[in-house]
Amino acid sequence: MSAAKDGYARSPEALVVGLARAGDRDAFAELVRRRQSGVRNLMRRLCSDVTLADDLAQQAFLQAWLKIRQLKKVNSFAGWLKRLAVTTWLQYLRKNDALRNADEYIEDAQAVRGVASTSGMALDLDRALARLPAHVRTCIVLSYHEGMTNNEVAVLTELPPGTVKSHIRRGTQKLQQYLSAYNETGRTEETP
Amino acid sequence: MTDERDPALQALFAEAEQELAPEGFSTRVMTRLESARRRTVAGWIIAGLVLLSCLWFLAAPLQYAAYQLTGLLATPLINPDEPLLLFLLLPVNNVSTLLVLGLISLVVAFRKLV
Repeated sequence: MSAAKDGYARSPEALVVGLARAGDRDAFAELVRRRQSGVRNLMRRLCSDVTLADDLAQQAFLQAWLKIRQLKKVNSFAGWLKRLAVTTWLQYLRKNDALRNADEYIEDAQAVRGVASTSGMALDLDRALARLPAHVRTCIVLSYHEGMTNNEVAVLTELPPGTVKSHIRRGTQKLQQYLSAYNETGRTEETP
Repeated sequence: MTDERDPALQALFAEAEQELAPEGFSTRVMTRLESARRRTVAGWIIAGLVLLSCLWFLAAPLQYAAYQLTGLLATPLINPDEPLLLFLLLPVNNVSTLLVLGLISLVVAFRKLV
């Protein structure tokens, strides 16, 4: 690693965001290094497909680079980036007509694809999430993974608050059912 | 609205979070970024060349059209016989004034209606 890159690695994020906003590509590369894990994990929970998740995460970062000048507060970069990632996911759903069978719960337990290098627990969780309809999954992930309130989820997904609440309630019940083995055996077994 | 989350599921989500190595991913992002930048630059160059070609080929017809339009807009609405009156009315006695007044009337009427 060069001295400049090493300097970026040790700099506070607000400073690196400021530099990236001014067009510094090395600063943006440092932001990618710092934030990639969070965005990729979010995408993996949302799409249950490791390859697609990484592709969408890359698209989210490309959007971030194109729009970073619109970011007003350098301290809000992390939240802004997550919102961009979720928007990228929602655009993917609309573009690929993935919501056509949006109300269906999949009873096939092996629904997740591209699982190389995914830990057992993460794999089980992704399999269970993959069985949920796309909108329900999105609400569940934003609520449980991102810790968003129902109102925040409603704003981001542009769904009515009542629908979000219903999606989260139904999704939670289904996940409890799919992942019951974790509750019964102290999270040592895989999903049936 | 109350947010009720299942603590067991919440813990499962937290435990499933993995720290993913940045190396390959960061490189791919920066490579795509560079490709996107090259595509953008190429797009601007092509658009510029197309515009320049259009201007090159359409310069004469455009100039002629502009000349005709200027002549049309400057056409007097009335032709008084008195030279002094013609001189005094010159700034408002043309088609362009009529168009501007018509536009202003439309805007005023629209504002009153809305």
